[in-house]
Amino acid sequence: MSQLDQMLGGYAPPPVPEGLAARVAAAAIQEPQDRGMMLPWRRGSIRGGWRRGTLIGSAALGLAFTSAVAAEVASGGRIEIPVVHQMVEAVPILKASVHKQKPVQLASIEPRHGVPPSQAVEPSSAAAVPEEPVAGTPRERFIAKFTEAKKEVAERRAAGLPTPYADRIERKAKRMVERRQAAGLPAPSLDEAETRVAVREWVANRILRRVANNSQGLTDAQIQRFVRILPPKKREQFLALGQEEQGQAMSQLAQRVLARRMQAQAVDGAGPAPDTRPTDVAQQPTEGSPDQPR
Amino acid sequence: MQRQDATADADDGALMQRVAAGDARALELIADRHTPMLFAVAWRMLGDAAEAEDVVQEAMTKAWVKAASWTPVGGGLGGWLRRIATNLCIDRQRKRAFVSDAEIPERADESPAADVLIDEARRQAAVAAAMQALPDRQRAAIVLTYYEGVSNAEAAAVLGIGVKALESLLVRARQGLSRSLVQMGMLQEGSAA
Repeated sequence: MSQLDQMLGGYAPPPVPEGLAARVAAAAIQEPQDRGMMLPWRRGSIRGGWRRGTLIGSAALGLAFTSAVAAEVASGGRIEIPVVHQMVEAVPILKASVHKQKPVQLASIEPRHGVPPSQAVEPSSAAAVPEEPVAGTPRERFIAKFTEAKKEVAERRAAGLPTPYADRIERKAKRMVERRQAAGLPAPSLDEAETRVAVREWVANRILRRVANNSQGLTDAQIQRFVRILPPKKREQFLALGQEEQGQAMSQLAQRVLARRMQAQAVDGAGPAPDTRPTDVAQQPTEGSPDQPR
Repeated sequence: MQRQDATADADDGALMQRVAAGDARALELIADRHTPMLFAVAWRMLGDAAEAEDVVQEAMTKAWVKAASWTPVGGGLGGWLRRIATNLCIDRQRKRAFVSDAEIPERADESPAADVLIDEARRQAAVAAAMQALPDRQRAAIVLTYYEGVSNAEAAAVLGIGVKALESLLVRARQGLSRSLVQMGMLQEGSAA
């Protein structure tokens, strides 16, 4: 044994203080115990826990990035993730696969029922491909359908067929433009004004139908929307009513307005029967399918 | 009485199961068994009895709190507690390093004057000073392998290093101790080997 070992052997600790074991046990049991096995992902208090956390974090980040690249490449560029897209653009092989679009086969337009084949207009390339994709909201879908319907209205007019609803919208739009011009206000184009009138009528009809059919279950948002279309004087009277009375008043008014509109259409002589809902946007631009309750 | 004897004879694994179930008596028995070892490790690592007591306290508290997650592997309960105590000591040493030097008196200064000490006490004070002068991990390696009789593999596991690295630590620790003791005039140069 070396001299160093002999000296180390003499390095003995002092005796354990009396009662230390009992004291430490008594103090320890004051602490609440952890229940259950420690889960691997919660071992932060253990030495080296930060390293494990870093590794898991890096792996998750890598997986997320790989998934994002895969999603963009597999979708052919339809899904664009900003940072990933820039990186994919920088890699020629990935860029080629992302920008390889599948050819889209356009549907051919069949002649409308009831229109003689001689009067059916050949679909032009502009009509076959919608100018703008049909968006998700009912309003946007309605505008898209209305735009398509205007083409069909033009065809019907060219063929000498009646287009009473389109005529009415056109008259209203013209009046709107003239009023604004007379007032010195900036006026929209006639096309734009027609779209606005049609959308306004579509919204109003949709609210009216919902209200007429359901006076009990009206939401605050429905009441607010209904209030917006009322003239100022009636709006004040309406707001003074209680909630239940408001519902009843809304329902009655909606029924009356709808009945009046149906009568007006019947007088025009070209409208549908009052109890039927037109589904053809060309015939009835303001009553198209997008206003189906969802 | 018979039940108490049976309890006292129970092995560490059985006692830890009972501790995990909230049995305070089982923890007292574990404390009785392992406190001397923990105190010795802590004292040799820190060179201070009060701090060693604190470390024993913290180690036992961890044993109580984490009893449900303990599994009887490696060096058993003793090894697990020793590992906890060693790591607590290293943590304390690191915290000390951030305190101003002025607040920590030199170990050599703490020891009484050489001329009033008997030889044994003088030697012990010199070894204590040399031990405290070692870096944390070298001191832990010496305490675990020399004083606690832990195998190199187990000591390496406690310190989170490989066996080769532990052996290297031990060599450097012995060289450091020899150098310090030679400087203090307690050891003749070339007699450490």
